[in-house]
Amino acid sequence: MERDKQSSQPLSDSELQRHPLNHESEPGKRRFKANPDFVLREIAGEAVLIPVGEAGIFENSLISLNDTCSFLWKLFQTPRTAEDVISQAKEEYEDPEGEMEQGIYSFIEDYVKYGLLKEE
Amino acid sequence: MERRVWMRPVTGVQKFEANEYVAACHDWNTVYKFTCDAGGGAWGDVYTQDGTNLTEGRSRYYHACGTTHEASTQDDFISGYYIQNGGNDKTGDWTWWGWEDYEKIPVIIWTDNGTDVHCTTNLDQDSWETTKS
Repeated sequence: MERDKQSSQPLSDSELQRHPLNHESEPGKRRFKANPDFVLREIAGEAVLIPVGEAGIFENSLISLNDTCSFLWKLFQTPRTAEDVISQAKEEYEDPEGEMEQGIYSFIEDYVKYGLLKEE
Repeated sequence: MERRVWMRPVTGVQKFEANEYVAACHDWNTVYKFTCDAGGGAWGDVYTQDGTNLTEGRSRYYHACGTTHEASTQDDFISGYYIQNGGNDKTGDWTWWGWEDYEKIPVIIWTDNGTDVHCTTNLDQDSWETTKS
């Protein structure tokens, strides 16, 4: 259905979802939390995630995290948005290459994809 | 506070193959201390539960040797019974009131790989003493 600026017809659900002012669908506003079925432990100086519940694809696996991964995982122990985490990361890390934000978005995307982070 | 330098978040996943082969430590060299004592030395015949006479024949009979043998736990131990009949292969006899079966004394039989017949009246195999040969 064609619309114009004067149209007073209400938007459908899908149209509302795509509306630029609808921030609810933006990653920056969505909150994520670490999956409680994985706990972070330090073993032999290395940060690893240990499956303690439903491990899914990580059955019989050892998940090792580098320093920044470990930092992000700890932040997500409480529900946070990507903006929260970026803000915290900027206080903790210098970002000479300018890769921090994209790196955090990728982290969230990958961890959600593999069930390590859950959207609240 | 000095800040650290941001590094790309990296997650490493190492998958382990579950070892389904459990090496069970089988007691191949464990033996029972099997004491041949059924009947107390009186002559008789030994039968398996299906009635097979392991000491059939006029010249064959069983009597307890009283020796404690080392019987491998892997050997066969047969449930049967001992009849104190002097080794005459009879399972009973006629009396003035009719045929009467001889008493069947339950035993566990060890044949030492078919070379002999030893019997014990201790039917609880779990209680048998074991040792390493």
